[in-house]
Amino acid sequence: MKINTRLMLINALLLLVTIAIGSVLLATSRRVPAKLEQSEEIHHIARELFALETAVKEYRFLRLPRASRQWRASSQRLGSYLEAMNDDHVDPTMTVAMLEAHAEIDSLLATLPAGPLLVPSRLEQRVIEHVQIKIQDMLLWSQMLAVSLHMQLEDAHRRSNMFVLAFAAGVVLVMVGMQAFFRRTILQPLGTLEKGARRVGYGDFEHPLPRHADDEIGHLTGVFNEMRENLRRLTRAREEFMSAAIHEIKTPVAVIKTSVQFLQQFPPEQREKRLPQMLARLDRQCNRLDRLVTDVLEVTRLDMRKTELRRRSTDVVELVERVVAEMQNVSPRHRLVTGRMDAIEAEIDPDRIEQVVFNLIDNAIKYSPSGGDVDVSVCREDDTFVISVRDRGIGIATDKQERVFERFYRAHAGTRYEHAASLGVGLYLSREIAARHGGSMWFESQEGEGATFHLRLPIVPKSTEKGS
Amino acid sequence: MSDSKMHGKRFRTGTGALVLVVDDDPDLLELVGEVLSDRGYRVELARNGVEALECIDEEVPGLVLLDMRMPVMDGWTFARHLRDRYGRSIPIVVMTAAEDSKLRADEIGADSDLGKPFDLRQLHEVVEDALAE
Repeated sequence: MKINTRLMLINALLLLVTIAIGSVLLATSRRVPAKLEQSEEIHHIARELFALETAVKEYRFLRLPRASRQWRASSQRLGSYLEAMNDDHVDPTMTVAMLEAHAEIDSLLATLPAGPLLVPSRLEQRVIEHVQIKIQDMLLWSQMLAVSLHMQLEDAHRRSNMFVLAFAAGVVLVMVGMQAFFRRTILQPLGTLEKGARRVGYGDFEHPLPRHADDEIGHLTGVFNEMRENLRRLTRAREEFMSAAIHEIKTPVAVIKTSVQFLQQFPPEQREKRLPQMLARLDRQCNRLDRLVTDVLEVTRLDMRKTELRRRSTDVVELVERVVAEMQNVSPRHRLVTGRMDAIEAEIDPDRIEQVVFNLIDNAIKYSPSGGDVDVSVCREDDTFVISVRDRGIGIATDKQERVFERFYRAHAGTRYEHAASLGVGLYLSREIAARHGGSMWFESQEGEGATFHLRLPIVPKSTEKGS
Repeated sequence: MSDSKMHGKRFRTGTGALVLVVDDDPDLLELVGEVLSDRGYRVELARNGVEALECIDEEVPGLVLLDMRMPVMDGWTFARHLRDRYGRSIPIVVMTAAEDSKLRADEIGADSDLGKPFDLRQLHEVVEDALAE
């Protein structure tokens, strides 16, 4: 799962928890004022009951004339408080009982004469006693209601405390979870990536990083591994290239050194007859040395994009024929044959293009070990021209064709056709040179049936790259 | 270089031991051939392992000077074939870049090595020593 999705899930969860706990807290806190109001009502009821009782006592024992007025007023207020309590649904059974008791008290008190009695009759005595008992009952009930309300309030308080605690615990849990989540899915993989990057920085490209999950960091790890693999390949290829280049340079140096020392052994008159062959050999080896060093230099330069073209008007046919003539005797088994040669005067860098043609013919010879004709042609096509070199050699396997122009790639490495003198840069350099000219290179080949390489260049450079 | 085939090209003017030189560079081959034949050795030249084995079939040399990286058949394969057929009776001198000529010599069990770029004196010394053993 993506980290983004997981974060969204966590957020949604947090929101849900907050809403749930918040609404419970809100409901609890809303009930508290209602309970407080009810408890106030009960307080009033209790007060009125006391007042009523006092009035009844005063009527019974002191026979005060104001007593009956007082109990009427008290009873009326008591009635309205009880009604209010009934409306608030405090404790329905208890409320109903108290309403009934109040009605009874009211009706009983109504039977008593309003004025003060000197000697109450037995009946009146009984009525007053009954009223007093009812008042005591109501007082008891109101006390019970008060206690019950108090307990409910306590309960609400405790519950709201619990919810606050639960909320805090939930927040702590989510935080711990987030911490673990970040550590597991982000920090640890990032740490692994950091270690990997450090290793690559030190030049260790051998260890691929484990891909822990299919999320954004997993994707980054994948990209990182790809980069590491490319670096590994390029570095190894470069090392092989440098090692091959140095090996290649040793042979001409050995030839030159030994030739000169060998010549020096002889007195001048004996030297004479060996000179032409020796000098030709020295010349060839110096050229080879020059080309090798140029190749190494070019690879480094192209890496740094430093190559500059020195374009000048060039007779292409003459250039191609010169290279063909130079290479005609390189291999006794091959014959270089020039086919169609359209006369072309092109704006090119002759040294570079000569290098490309040389590479193409050199490859054609190298990779047709049993010899045969190598066809070279120059054809005009609209405002471009194409130089083609065809051999009848071993060709290039289909699975290797894609990589032929890759730097340091040697299609025949590891086969019996692996050529000692191949640095794996010829075609890469050639294509780079073609590209700098605004041209292109391609080939057709079938394994075992040879290959034809083509170089297409514009006769006049396009105005856009003339200035560059 | 005028010969259509390098294999079998010989410098047989001398009367000394037969030295087989194997290297894919024609200039180096010819030069070593010329130098050694001037010293009186008989020399046979081969451009790769296959040509070298053909030469040996004709006449067993007293010494093989062997380059390692060659097309068609490289030095490692050639040395293995040679050891299979003749055991250690024919001494081999490895001719390759000086940096790892010792290593290559150990790899194929060669008798000695001649690191490139060598000079005339080294060439003579190594050949003399190898043949003297």
